[in-house]
Amino acid sequence: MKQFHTVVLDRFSDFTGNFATEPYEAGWADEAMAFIRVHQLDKGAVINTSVQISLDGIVWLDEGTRFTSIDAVGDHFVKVSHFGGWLRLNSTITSGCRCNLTISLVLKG
Amino acid sequence: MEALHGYRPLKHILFSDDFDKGLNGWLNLMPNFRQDIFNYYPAQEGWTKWGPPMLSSASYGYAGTHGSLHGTYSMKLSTRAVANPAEQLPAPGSQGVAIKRLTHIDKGFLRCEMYYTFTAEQNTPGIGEDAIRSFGFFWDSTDSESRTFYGARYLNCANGNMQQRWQLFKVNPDSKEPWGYKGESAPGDTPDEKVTLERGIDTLWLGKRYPNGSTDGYYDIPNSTQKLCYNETPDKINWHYFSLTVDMDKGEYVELRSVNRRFDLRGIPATKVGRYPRIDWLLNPVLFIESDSNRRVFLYVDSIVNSTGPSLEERVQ
Repeated sequence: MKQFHTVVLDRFSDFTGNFATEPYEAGWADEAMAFIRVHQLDKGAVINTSVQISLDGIVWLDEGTRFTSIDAVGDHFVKVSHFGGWLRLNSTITSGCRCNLTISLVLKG
Repeated sequence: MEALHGYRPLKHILFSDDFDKGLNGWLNLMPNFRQDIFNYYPAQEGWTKWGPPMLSSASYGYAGTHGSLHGTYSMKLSTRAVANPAEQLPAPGSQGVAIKRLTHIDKGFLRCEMYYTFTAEQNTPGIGEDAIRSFGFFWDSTDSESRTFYGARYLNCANGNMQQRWQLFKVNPDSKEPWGYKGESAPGDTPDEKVTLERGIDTLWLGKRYPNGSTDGYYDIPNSTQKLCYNETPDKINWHYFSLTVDMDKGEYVELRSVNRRFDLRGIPATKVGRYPRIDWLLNPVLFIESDSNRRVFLYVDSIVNSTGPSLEERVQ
């Protein structure tokens, strides 16, 4: 039977400016989904988030998968596979704006 | 891990977790939800930042994959790259915490054994030994009348000064300092009852702290200075044996084993508080690590075994 694991990396967390999730090791997983649950978002704010991979959990590279620009409260997701050993999400938000998010990885393999 | 090689469990094995087989029910520790909305008590919001456990192959940029003692994967706890001075309450995210949740099957003796190692993130030159403040293990244990935190931690470094000694979870009975949090923690048995965190509960982040890294919640085991093996670069990790035994009938510690040392703890009581609503006979083992500087630090656990029994007689492997 496959392993399945959901990890919540940030919960009800306020963000402004650029932000990234903490490094997470997922080398055992064949596939991942990343979820961003937007609890609050300033009017006019847009969040742009990309999936990043790493050799060592220290130096990060864009994997190529990006969320569609987020401008609304609710759940948003992307799918990713063939990511090696590490995953994180790297985000920017419209200058001067604030959001409150819960960010999770959903792993299977 | 096969046939509990290297372990000395008591008669009844509660669980035997090898992290080559998944996380085995270990997950991040988070605070309680409020009852009125989906969110946390304001004073506890920082406690949502404790780093979650992950299955790690212990891979490094220049060493490659280190693997674990019994295979490829261990359970890794990571802090964020933050720390408060040792005399302050811990910064949100400065600890990595993993918990597993079960209930008791017996009274008598209780033992935790594990093979673990620890290191600092290799994000800057230097060994990194002084980036780790402490790590350890405890049980949150209840019966139908009381609640007790039994545990031990290795106090490694405080404000950059190496400490390298073992401590038990045991409140300083002479201190008049506040425990640190008087707010509501959970609903009670009735709507009017408020559950709060008493002295001896949530020792991990409560209790007055001091510049030498000690707190009002920990007790120095006499003559317990031990220089654990920390290799010459952060990407060389050596697995250590840990064993803690307690006597639940007496509410006392029995023995701590660490590598070549055995500490006789008989006669040292743990701190017992009154019953908490709903959580009768709870048994939650918890692992943790804390940073001493603005650098991530990691605790890796290859495998962990908890056992219990009416006597200290050890099984012959």
